[in-house]
Amino acid sequence: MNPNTMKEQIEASYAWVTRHKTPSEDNVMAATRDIFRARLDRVYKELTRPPRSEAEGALLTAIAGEIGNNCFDHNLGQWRDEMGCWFIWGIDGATAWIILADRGQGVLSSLGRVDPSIRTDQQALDAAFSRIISGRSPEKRGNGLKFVKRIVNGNSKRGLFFSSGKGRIVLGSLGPSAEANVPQPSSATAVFGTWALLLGE
Amino acid sequence: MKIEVRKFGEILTSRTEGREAYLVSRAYLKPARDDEPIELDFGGVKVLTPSWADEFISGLRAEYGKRLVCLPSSNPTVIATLEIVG
Repeated sequence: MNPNTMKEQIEASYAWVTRHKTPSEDNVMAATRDIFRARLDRVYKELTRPPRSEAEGALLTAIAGEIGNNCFDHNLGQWRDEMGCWFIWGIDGATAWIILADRGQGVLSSLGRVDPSIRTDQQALDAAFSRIISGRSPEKRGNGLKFVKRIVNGNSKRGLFFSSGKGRIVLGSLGPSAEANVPQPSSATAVFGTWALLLGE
Repeated sequence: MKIEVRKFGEILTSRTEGREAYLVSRAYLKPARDDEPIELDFGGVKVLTPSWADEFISGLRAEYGKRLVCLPSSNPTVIATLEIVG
């Protein structure tokens, strides 16, 4: 489990996806899908360890799996510089938190190619979470983030902050600790790729 | 005939793994009759996502149509995934 606090990891990971190039630490980076997959197994074990709820841990693991696999599915050969997914998690009291980020092409670049009516980062995020659409057309994909939205909205103690470019979406409840630390809407900083904070019990 | 999905892994999340599972199943799946149901048993699966299931179930459904049956599961990720993909 990550020894750092959620606040420290929010700041470090957000700096990584908003600056052109910052050094990353090995222990937070899953450079390949295999590494991501192995760490996802650890997430499941830690989030379902008694007295934590096995069902809740499984659902959070599934969400992390969808978002994390998207990093690789949509960015192979498209990384801006550093390949892979920033993937770190922790447990603060009753709250589990997971941060996923990538320096890939971002949601607008991906979806804008298949639907030219999508012109802004916010439109791209809104479409990604509400429509069955995928940048990997003509492959029939696009259910993953709708699944994420449904799960997060299914419990008042779950929350998701998802950002790409200058767009952002907040689902569920982030809680006061995360609310105080996530990037604020007034920020003009753009995320190069995607950045997500997932919270749950 | 019954496919025990947990034999492909307990945490099933990526499309690449789902696709591979489908291809293996297609190669080795030999129903005794043309009308024999193909039952997917999710017992023992800990985490399932739409990405994995979309590759696996959609592939099998394209071949077996209504003969493909997803057996009930109490796992919340299986339930939520099948609501979207199933």
